[in-house]
Amino acid sequence: MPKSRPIRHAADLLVATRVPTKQAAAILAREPDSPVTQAVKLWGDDEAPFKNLIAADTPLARRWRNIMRRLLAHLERDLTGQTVYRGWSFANTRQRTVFMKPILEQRFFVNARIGMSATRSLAVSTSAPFLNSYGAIWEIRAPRKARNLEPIFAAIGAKYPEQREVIFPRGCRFGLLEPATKLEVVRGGHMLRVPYFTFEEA
Amino acid sequence: MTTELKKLAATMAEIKRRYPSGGKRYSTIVENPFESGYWPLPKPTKADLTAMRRFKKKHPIVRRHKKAA
Repeated sequence: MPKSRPIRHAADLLVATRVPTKQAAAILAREPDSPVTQAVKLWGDDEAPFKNLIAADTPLARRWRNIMRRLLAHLERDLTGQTVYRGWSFANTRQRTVFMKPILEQRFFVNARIGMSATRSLAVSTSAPFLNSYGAIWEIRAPRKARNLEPIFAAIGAKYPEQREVIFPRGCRFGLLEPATKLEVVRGGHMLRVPYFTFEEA
Repeated sequence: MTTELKKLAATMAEIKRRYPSGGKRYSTIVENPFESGYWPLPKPTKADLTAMRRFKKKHPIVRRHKKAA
């Protein structure tokens, strides 16, 4: 059996396998100027570059996504199985309907993005940056492939360590367990009544 | 690896230069490209379909009918 290489630098995180998140956090915090740390920080900071990079089809965005894909793939899975939540925010009801239609028909969703953020707290996932009156809440039970990035975001000083504490890598599959119910939350003095979907990682 | 890191460093520098925080560039940014039609959900692969069938078999929808009085 080949001896695993010791992880000394942030760049080693892209080649090492099953790296514990706490160890990765310590290494990345030690090298704040490393491009790997900066790439991760872009994810943890809710700023315009992140929003653009996750979807854009430019060489820059592709390179950034490639690094994030490798980093996520090499991090240790979070095997606690603790339920996580994801809040969705849409511009109008039609967008939500269009997005959810194939998922409701198939009772299945495959994550096509490089990563899908979620949080362990329902209160955080229903907070203003993630949920509006046209949005939806997903409860994801029994996650198996999620990576817990909260220690990393906290160590490198990312703005939102709680809101993106768990990331599901590309290709994760989720099955819809139950028909939608409604969730009522009060945010900013307004009552939001949004659909609540229960998924399980397949 | 070194070359790759150099490329990434150049990428990070370029991102910072081209995408200033709060810049006006983002007026047309789509927060969720899936639902806006810019990024339709991809066609499921064979493995996805197998996982889908397995999931549906494991978790069938139980339809509850009202009992006659």
